[in-house]
Amino acid sequence: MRKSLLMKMTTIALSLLVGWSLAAQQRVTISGVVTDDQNEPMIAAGVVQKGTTNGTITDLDGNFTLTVPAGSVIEFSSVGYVTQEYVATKTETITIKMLTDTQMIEETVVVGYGVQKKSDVTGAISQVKSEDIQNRTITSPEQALGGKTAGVQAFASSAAPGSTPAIRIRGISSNNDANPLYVVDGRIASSIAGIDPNDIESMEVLKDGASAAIYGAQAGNGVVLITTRRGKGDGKISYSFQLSSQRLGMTPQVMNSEEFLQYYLEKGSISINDVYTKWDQKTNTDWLKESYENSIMHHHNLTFSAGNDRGNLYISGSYLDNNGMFKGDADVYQRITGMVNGSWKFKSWLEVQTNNQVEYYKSRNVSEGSDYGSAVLAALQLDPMTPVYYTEENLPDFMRQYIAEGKVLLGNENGYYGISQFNLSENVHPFVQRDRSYSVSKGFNINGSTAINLRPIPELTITSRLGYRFNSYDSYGYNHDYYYNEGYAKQYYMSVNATSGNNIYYQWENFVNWMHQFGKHNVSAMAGVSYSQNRSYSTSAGISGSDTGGVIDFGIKRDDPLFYYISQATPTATKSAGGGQENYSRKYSYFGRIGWSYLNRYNVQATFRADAADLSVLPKPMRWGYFPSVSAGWTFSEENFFSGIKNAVNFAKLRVSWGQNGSIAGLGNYSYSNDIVSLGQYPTGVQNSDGSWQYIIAYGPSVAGNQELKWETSEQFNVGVDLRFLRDRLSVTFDWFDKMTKDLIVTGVTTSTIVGVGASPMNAGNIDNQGIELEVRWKDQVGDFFYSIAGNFSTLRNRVTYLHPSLKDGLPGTGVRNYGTITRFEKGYPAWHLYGYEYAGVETTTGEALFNHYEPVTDEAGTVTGYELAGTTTDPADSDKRHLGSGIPTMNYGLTFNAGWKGIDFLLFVSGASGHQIMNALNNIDYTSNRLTVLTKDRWTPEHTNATVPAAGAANFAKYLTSNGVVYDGSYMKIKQIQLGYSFPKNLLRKILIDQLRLYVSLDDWFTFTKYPGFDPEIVGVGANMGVDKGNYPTSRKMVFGVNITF
Amino acid sequence: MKTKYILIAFLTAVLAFSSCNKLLDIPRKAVIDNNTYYKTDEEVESAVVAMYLDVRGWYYNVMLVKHCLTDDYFSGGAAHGDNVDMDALGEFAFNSETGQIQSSFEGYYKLIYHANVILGNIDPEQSKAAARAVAEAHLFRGWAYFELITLWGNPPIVDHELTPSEYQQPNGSTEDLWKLVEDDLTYAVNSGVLVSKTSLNDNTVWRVTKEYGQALLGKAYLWMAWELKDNSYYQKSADMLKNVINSELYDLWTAGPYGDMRHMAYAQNCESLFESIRINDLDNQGDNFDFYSAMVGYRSSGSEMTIPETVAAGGWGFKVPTEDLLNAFVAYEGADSYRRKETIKTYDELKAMGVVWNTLTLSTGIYTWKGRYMPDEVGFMSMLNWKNPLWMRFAEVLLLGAEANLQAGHPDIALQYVNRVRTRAQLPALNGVTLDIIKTEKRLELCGEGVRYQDLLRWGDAATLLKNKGDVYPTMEPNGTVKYVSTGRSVYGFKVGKHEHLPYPFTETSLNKAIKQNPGY
Repeated sequence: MRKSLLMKMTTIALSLLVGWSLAAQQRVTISGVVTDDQNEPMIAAGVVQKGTTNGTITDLDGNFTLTVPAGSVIEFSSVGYVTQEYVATKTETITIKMLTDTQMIEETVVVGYGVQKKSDVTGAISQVKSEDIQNRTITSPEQALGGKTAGVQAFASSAAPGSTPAIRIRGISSNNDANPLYVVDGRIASSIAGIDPNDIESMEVLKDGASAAIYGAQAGNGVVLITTRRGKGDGKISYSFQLSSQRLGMTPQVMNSEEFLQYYLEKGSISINDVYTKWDQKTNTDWLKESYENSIMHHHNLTFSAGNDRGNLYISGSYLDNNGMFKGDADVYQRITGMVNGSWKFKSWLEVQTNNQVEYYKSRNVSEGSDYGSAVLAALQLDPMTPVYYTEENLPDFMRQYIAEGKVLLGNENGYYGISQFNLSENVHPFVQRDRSYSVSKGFNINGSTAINLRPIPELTITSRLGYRFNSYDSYGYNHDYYYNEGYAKQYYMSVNATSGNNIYYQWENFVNWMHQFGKHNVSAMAGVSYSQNRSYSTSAGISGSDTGGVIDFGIKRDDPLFYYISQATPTATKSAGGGQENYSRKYSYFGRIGWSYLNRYNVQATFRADAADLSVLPKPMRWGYFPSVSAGWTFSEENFFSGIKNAVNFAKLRVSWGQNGSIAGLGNYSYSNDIVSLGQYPTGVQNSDGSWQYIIAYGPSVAGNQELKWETSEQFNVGVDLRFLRDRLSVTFDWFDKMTKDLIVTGVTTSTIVGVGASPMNAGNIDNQGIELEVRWKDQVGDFFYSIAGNFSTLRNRVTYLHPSLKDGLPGTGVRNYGTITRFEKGYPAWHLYGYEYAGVETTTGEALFNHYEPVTDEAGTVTGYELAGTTTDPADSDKRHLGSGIPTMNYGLTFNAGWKGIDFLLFVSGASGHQIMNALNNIDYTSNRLTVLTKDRWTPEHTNATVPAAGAANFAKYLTSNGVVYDGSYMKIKQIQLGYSFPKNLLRKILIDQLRLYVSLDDWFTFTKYPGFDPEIVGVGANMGVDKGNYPTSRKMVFGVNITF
Repeated sequence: MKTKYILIAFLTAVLAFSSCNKLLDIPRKAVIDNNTYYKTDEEVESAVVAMYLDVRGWYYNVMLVKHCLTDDYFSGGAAHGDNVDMDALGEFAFNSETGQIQSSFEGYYKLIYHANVILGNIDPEQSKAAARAVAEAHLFRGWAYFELITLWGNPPIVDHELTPSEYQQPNGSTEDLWKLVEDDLTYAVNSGVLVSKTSLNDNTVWRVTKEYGQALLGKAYLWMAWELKDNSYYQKSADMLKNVINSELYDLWTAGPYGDMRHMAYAQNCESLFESIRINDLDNQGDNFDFYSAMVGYRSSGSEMTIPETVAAGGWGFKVPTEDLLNAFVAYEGADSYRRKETIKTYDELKAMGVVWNTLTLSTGIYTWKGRYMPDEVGFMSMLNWKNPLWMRFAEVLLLGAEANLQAGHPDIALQYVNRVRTRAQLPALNGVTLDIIKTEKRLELCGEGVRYQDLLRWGDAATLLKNKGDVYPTMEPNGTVKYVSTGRSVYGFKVGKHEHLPYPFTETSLNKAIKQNPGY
């Protein structure tokens, strides 16, 4: 740094300090309890120094502690109660009694780098509070977001133990990854799966562009702020325990033995002879029933919490053990987490705060989600004539023969796993799928943030915060030798692989918050800088035996699990190694916010963030991204003209916001650069003395490079209204948004010929999301009976509005087996829409499937201008493929009903989605595999020609499987939770030194209402797989018993 | 209070922390970075040979396009319709989606890209090799633009590596395009760093030479005189070509029969101005995959003909000489002239050599002799070959020089050049030349070498000579009876106002909205 600048800064700093030192001594700490008019402690009442963001909320016992400058006014607020004011003159403990009348609600929400009064909010922020999270069977915070707030959608490709859904805020805004930015206590987190939901105080979803813009380049897909718990009260110990019994919920219906045989006899895949020689005339295995079992998940959580006017401490530990419902212990997620949060005011002007989480996990999974076979899919496709086990005694001859030949057949104490004689595919017995390989991943994370807050004068807070994450992971696995069938499922040797790696991340942020009040004006400002670095490192190795024309190298020196390690490879085993290269990524940012409010009636805010990316992300000239936003709020219920109806409508605010955010999706790994590669060799015509020819190897750029690559940028406009009626018992929040994301980063663009070389990834697409969101809450108390209903509803219209002209057919997404691509990212349609043939029923004479056929329409010059429907065909061409639907729901809703009477409480939580489609890809034609009965029941036969489904042997069945014949309405409604609890009376508990004791029972994910004939309409893929069900691990039905105790 | 001052002062300082930009410059691992390449002579050389590979890669598409479009050849093949694109070319029914036109266009711009990479990244002051690389890049780019202008008219000017916002380029103006060609070739010729052969019989130079640059520039001046309507270019052309002719490094080849002059054994002979290098390296046969030899070989791949090893390698039977070409020879130099017999053979002549026809073929009974592939020059069903593609030979330089001198008012020099060519062709010397004589001489001397189509356009003869191209195609019985069969096309032949230029490929016009398609397409 140059000397003159340093001098200047020191001067500025010192001159500021003189001013601060005078005021800083006069600070007082007010602590105490807030009760309602029944003298019951009030939970989560807002406690804020008036006109500032300095504030807290009361804990479960109504306790609070707040330090403010002497003479300032503290406001106490809670929904449904009159806001109380108290003038803090000296440090003291007080009791505030709130009165039910509901003139004003003063809750606070966490915003980026600060806290805001809810009434000052000008953007669109949804809150999920601890009461929405606790006592549910969710194991990760992401799971808490679905159904509880409007504008949030959860997409999942698995509900296996330890899996988490992908959260999409206000739609899909990229062809690349569209995960929101997660910020935990100020630390930007790559994953939040390691946080126990019980340790969360609140989650704020920053939905509109203006709220998220303070996080700039990373906020294009929305931001989720997570605030973890802080210690409160004078020492409290809580323990909660939850035991869940899990079982398979909805199951797809497949054919039984009789139906199966009849079907494939019709198709001609099997002969009558097969029926008699390969089937014992009675076996009728229900593979779904055999593959799944009732399993147990238990979850313990112990917390210690205390706080006073100087500081607070929160320590918690949790243990989760979820053994999934697939039979055996191959689907298990175990996790231990710990949290230590504390803060202390070392001086009246200096507070140190630290939040830390530790996590250790172990996870094993069964295969799923693959159209080429998995443990999950096998349970649907294996024929019912094959028994689960053969004992030594009733082993069929062909299996005996295998054993005699020295082939390794898998089994367990019940016998050998049955080998199918009908379905000779790669999709084998579910237990063989489970047992032929073993894999486990383990790891630990230490996450946290530690901050110093300086408050030299009451109006100014300077924060320096260090966030960090130490992550270590390893995985280990092997594949056995085994034999199932000759064609696709056998291996005569072993392979072992192992990976280990770590990530070290830190982020250092320094920012200043300032607020000032003069007259009826409140002004505030925040400014700061941020720097972050991530280092990732991993190494991996593998060994594999081989089978070269019957010559077997087993790969491992000894066939014994104690020898299944890389170090025990045979000398001739194939060895592979990777990694060992450390990779860094870094970011550097400036950010700021200014706000002004007048008469609590007019609020205006503006934010700005400048982000710089490192070279792995963007080329140097394009490094900086600038993300502005403005927003305004008008509380028109404060205007004079409103006074007439203020009794009925007690609060009304109009919000308007506009902001730009970036997205790092699709960037990274130096995608813009053009590296030098070999282009071939050219002979000089000269021969060396040994007779070999001289060549010069040509080198040149492999692609054009793109020095103009820039951030994907979302621009969002939001209009919202907040209304509260009938003494605040009814509150309504409505928002409309239009979010346009431009400059999507697209690979696969074809350059025009004159460029002379292929294109690098380019900014070459736009996508638009529009929707409305409605959140309604009704809350009332009638005597001892309290109840509330909270509902949310949102709509979404998603469209790709531009894609580079060379991508006329869109970007290809996923396919099903080798039948072709069935999702596309294409102009004019929702992201990754379903695309295939239009099924037009059955050809009545042959049983073949019929599809709509289109002919091109040409203009006078012979140019194709469009297509028109020209009848049906049994042999459709690629040009007959059309839009078949989209996996993105156009409507989502959630409803939570709460009621309490004396000690009894009841909760009902319902959520659902509609307006989307699911392609059922649980069937194939390539083998004699079982099929869903929706594809077989009403099939064409010579006797039943008036059918809806093609004949068993229809030659074009593969095309049927990529048509809307197998696309279903994906709408569903789920009753996610029905919970009944009882809290024992306090006076009874005090005698046994217990503060609180609550017991509850619950049915979670128990009822699903849908027309979709698969496992679970909620678990059907993410991204390019959206809406394509390839057999994913479904959500389990859970019966839950739980205890909450506080000492 | 002191602690407070120190802490706050510290934090105030870090709040504005000094630039972190350097920390963001994380170098990429495990790749060769384009920004730091091209420093050593070895790296420079590797960028240069990319251009040589590009040029060698042109041969297949460019030559087939140019043959098909002349009055000297039918497109050919196993039967009519064997190769739809080739038929479309041969019958003037091509459009913007015709494959070989598209591939040729792509090939030229690929070379221009690799030249621009050198010009944008290599400083000629860096080393002698760098200076030569830059000169060669200018030469190759100038050559590519000569081809693009003479075939397409007004292609976009791309004189540097384009960035994505520049991907849509409009057509270049005729003046700017020719200026680019002149500047590039002039730079190369005057650079002083291009190599030259050491003697007439030096056959080791695989690079483009200064003399090749002069020959290209002299050729370009001839076209500029015509297209820019400025006769002063004739003299410039004559002067520039004189440099080559008088260099004494090139001469007409006479060491063997005329028809064998392009055989592998005589590669890079004294007549050759520039050849791409191919070698028969058993360890690298993959490099020799080039269907050109298969395409132009006599139709024998379906056992239509039996060809003795001493005659030629067989193939797929494209590039079928026309009767018109034979007639031109007969009219100009007699029925059985040495040059005719060494250039094309008749049915009877081949039959006498032991060739046997087994079935009906698409043939005029006339077969290519000069430039044919011999069995020892090809491998694997003629789909491999190791014969150097020849891009220009001294006879062309002489005939270009003859035309330039005639137009510039030096008929004596023109006559001298033409007679040199005639002497080697075993024809009597003439006493005087006209443009028509030069035209005929050039057609016959250089037939099948990819120069005639551009000449026909420049001379304005295409409309007359190619008017009916595409009405019929020939078939021949094994006994040599030739019949002409209608192609069934309603639209065929050269159309004035359209076929003066090839169409820009559809792949270009659909992605480059700034380009204007040539009229008629």
